[in-house]
Amino acid sequence: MTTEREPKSKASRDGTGIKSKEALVIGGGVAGMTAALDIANQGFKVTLVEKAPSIGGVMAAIDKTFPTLDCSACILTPKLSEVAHHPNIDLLTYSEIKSITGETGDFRVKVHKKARYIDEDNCNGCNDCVPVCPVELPNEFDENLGFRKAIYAPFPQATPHIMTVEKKGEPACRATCPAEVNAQGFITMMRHGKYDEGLEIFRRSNPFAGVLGRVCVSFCEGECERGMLDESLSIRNLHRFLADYERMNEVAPVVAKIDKKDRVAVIGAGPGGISCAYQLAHLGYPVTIFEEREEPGGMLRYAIPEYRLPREVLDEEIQRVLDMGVKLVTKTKITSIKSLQEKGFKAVFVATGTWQSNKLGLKGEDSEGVIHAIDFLESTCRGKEITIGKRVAVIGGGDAAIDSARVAIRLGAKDVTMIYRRSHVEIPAIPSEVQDAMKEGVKLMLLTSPMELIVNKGKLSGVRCIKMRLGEPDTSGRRRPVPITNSEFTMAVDNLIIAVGQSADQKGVQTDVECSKWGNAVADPITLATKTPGVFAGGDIVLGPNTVVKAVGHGNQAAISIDRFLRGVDMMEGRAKHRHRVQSYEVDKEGVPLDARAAMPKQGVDSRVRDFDEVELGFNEAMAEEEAERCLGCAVCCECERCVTACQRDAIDHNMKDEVIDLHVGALVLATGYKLFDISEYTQFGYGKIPNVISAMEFERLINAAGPTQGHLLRLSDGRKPKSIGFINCVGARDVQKGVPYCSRVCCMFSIKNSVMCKQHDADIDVTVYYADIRAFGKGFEEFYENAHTRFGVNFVRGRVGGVSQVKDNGTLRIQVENTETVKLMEIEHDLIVINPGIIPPDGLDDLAVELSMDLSEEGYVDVRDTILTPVDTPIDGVFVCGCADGPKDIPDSVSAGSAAAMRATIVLSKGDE
Amino acid sequence: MKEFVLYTGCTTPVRLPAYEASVKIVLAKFGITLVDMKDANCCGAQYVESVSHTAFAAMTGRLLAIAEKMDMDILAICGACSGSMKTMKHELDNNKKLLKEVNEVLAEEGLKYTGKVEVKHLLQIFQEDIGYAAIREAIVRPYRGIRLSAHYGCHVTRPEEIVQVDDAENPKIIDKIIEIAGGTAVDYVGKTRCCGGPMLGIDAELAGKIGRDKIENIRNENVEGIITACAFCDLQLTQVQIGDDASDQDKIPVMTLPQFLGPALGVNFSSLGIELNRINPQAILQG
Amino acid sequence: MSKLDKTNEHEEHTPSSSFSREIEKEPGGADIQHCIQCGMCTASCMVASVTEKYRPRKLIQKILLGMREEVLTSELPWLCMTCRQCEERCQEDVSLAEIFHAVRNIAAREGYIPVGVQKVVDTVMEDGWMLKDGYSDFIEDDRDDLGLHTDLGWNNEFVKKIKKRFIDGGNKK
Repeated sequence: MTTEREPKSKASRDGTGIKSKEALVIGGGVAGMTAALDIANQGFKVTLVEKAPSIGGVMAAIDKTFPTLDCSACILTPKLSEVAHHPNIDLLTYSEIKSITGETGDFRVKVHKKARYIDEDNCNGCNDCVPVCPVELPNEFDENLGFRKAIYAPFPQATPHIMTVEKKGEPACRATCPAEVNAQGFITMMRHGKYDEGLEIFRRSNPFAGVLGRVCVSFCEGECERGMLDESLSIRNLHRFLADYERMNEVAPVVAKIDKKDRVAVIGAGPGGISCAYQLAHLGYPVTIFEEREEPGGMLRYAIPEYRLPREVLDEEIQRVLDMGVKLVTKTKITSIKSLQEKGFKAVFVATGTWQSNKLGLKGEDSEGVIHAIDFLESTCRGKEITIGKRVAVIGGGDAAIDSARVAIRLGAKDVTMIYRRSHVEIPAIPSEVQDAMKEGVKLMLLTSPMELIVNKGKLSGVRCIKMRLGEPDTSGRRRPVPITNSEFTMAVDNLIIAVGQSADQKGVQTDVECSKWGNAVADPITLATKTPGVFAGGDIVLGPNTVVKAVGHGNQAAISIDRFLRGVDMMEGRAKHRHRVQSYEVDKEGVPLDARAAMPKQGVDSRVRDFDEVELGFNEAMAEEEAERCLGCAVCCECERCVTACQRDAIDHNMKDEVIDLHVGALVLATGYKLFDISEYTQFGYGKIPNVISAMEFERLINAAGPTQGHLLRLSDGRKPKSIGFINCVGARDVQKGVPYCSRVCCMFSIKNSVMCKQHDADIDVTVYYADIRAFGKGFEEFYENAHTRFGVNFVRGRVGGVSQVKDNGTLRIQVENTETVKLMEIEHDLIVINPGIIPPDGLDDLAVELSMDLSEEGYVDVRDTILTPVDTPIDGVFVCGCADGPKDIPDSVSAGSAAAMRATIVLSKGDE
Repeated sequence: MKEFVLYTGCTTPVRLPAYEASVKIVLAKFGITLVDMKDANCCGAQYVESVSHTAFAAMTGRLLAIAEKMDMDILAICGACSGSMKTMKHELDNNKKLLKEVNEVLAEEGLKYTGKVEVKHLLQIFQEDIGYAAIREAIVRPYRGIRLSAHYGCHVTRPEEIVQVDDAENPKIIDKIIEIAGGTAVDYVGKTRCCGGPMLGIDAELAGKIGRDKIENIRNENVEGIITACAFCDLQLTQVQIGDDASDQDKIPVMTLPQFLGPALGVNFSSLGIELNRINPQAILQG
Repeated sequence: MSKLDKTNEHEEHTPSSSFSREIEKEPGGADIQHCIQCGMCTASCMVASVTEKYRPRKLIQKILLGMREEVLTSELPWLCMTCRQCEERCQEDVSLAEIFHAVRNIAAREGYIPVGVQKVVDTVMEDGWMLKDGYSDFIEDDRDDLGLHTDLGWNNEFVKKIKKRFIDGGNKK
């Protein structure tokens, strides 16, 4: 092998100079398979790459072939089998070409193998997983006439004979949720009325279906793809329904299975701590939670008022965690992490939260009548007696401020004003809470800030405020409020509740590890490990005041880290990567009727302000199901994992990833096939609008015994058998105005074949073919045409159809056509119209051509080097073409071309040693 | 403030003055002023066109040159005129020999066509210059779901590549405006077929048959009215219902688009010349 | 197949493409030779649907076969309404309406114009517009009531000039 040889072909890019004796065939239709087999049978190794989950191409969908009326599957399936079992063929399905570099004899190809989440060695295509899959979608193989599941094999003889899970990635809801709640999963279950399974899916991520179902900020709803159509799903209220439903029906038993030895301590029984304990107990670890206060729950119990979160719900969900074997030690304040480690705890999770109310920094802040939000709320939640005057002002705009305001109303204040220094747009509180507060009579005073507390004899009597306007944005990105000069005013108030944020206890136990200057523990953002080995921290104590769900998310992540730490496994591995989030354009919203979001029923305003009974009443079953129906199923597979349970061969792995495979080949064969012209572009035929106007491929699936109607030829609008069928030819072919001036070569015979099939199904059906020409050029074609006419009684009318319209009263179809042989202009009625679309280049061929630096023909096909002398050579050395990739062809011609391309390829491969 | 020079064509001022008036009033509501073209001539559509292409080119070319001198684009409200001017503009823009010949004649009057002026049909004004959003906002008295069918007219929409007004096989503009104004747009068989108008001068009987075919197809859909965008079509569809060979069935009111839109915008009926409509349009106006 | 020929006499005709080449030179006539006689035009034609005598496909066929005399003296080319439905649908992009306009132009030059058309042309080229006689006082009043100007101001000088220059006068038939 010399290194000084000049490359012979054009566009030599990054060739390595090392020759390969292997081949690559791109496209697994009949042409590609033929090429692959002929190469392999000569002793060369060949890789066959196919985009779809199975090889077979369009021929697998066809019922019978022309002119012999052979069953297409019968002649194709032996080839499928041969390809699958050939020792020299490496079959890569569900794969696409990423890049091609190099030159003849020395191509470097990267293949993108999409994850199908199925272990190809274990799966045997038994289909046990299909009935249990809850996700249904239109079946492309059946031309969207029937349905398939998210886990599927496209047709019974699919090769390789394994299933495929269609999963587009992570749906927006799950990708946004800090606790990674599988919203699409539980909502899909709800659509089928399987509430217990939905709840079980929710509980894989955290134990708080009911708690978060009432208090969560619902980041998911802000990103829900349905919101791009009409309104986002009411996700939070849906999982609340699941929790409520369980409470009223059968409660799933809790299984305790603590079988590990390493003990873990959690400091703080708030949402973060409890979630961490929950996940660890699930893994079998003995966990003890230490809680300073008398009862667990943290701010869920001691800050969030009962009208938002009834205590029974909180108690029950915490109890379920304890029932798993988690120990809870209350009224115990931990002051030293080291002491816990000395007691034998192998890992510690600090989740103590931030309970110190921030001060305004105004003189008189410690006067009587001034109270800070957390203290106020905690007192209320403990049931302590609190005297509240008639006029109350709350400073702040977050959830603590809203909660304080609404509690003040319930405690009897007559005049509650919330003073917030920015505008409505910037209010951090949950919007529905703000709405409810306003309904209950809380006044919102925006763009106002307190500047002075007026104290009379040690007691607060009023507050002086100043109006603000929004200036330039500050470091948080929000516009900074700027005081407006001379806009001061005084408000008389009896009480002032200050809700301007919280901070960590500067002397708390978190100071045992490295902290920031504000007293927050420093922890790795992904593993949540502190600098002290074996000590982890999460929730508000790390982030500062944040949401419940974020704390829960941290609890989950800390549990993963602790488990790995205890097993001595790397904590970081595989955790920083992000799954592909399903993009908006990947979710098909066409034809989805608009539907409003379910409104949460609430207690009447007058009754609810009198006490702390729950305000939001929850969906009933009908509302929940209707709302669940609105889910678009963005990722397709919802990861409910029912398939995993049903599979008896351990063949499903939802964590599989896409792969990139590097190939080094000497020759390429392009066999990328074709797609069909979109006949809805011919508005005059009404395809897509008028019922019972169908395309030839839809017809093909209807008459196929393995198709959606089991081979019964029916009208899809009413299930009736058609008594009169018309075939319209030359649509999307030989049309200068639509950009397809060339003849599509196969449609004349295809329509004759289909017309004969109609007669074979029922000799009494009246069948007419409307044509401009009959191109019956091949072997046996003319005889077949003749037979169609004389033996089977198909009518042939020479005249292109002008248009199709619907006859109102009886649902038949009327066509206008001139019979050019009799010069009669006719209006004819049929029950069913079948339109034969022309062939056009397939999607992705132009991208592939760019990779090869190859120009396509004007019509978008591969341009062969010389149509007469080298009909399967492309202009690129070492790259050959067969099948419809270079122009329309029928099956025999495609097979011939496949063999020819194989030969041309192996000539290159044989020279590999030179 | 947009300005167009209005070319009414021969027919509208005499046979359908209500159309002319309602166009002016309705467009004024959207800030579009129209200046009447003075000293114009027939565009030569159909008849002169058939007899001499060059004569036709000169006559239509003159209209384009007049507009160019006025430094305004042309608004055509009759389909035949719109079709003539658009296709002739396209031809003059691409055929230097014909352009030279035409400009030679025009030069004698001090006129010249250089290609600057654009020709628009009324439907384009609604879709492009006004926009559906503005129409929606200007509706003050919406209709209450009345069922109406739109008839676009052949010369308004075809040949599509040249006139570029709407999708020739599946036109939408009038239907959209019907919906925005509160009506229900109803499709019917043969929506894009000709009304028969161009046949009137040659074989009135055939013209009548063609027009009646259209009316019967519309009648099958049980609508309350037909909305048009061409003076010729409007007259033809009215005439076939009241002429000698008309059927005995109830007459379906025929109304031009601005006459239909006007009341929804708050324009009173008399300024729209509604009384001049020969088939009583009460049914539409009450819907 | 059978020919629908109304005459019983045996007519001999030698096909020639000279007429279609003549048409090709006219504006819009360029694609006439692409016609494959598929009948889409007739199937889409409203005139064809109301009268049996008119078949646009057959008319094109006659042009392609070179039957110049028959086509030019026939009334059939004048029956096209130029609605262009056929042109929208023709898959070979044959512009029938424009071809028939070209045929009419040639027929007119050689003196074959239907009476109805001639009348309208004469009026237009004399008055400058079609409806001078139709502009009655009543209509003038209607216009006035609507706030429209009543002096329609049509120019009739230009058309006279055009007639002289481009339309050889005459009413030959």
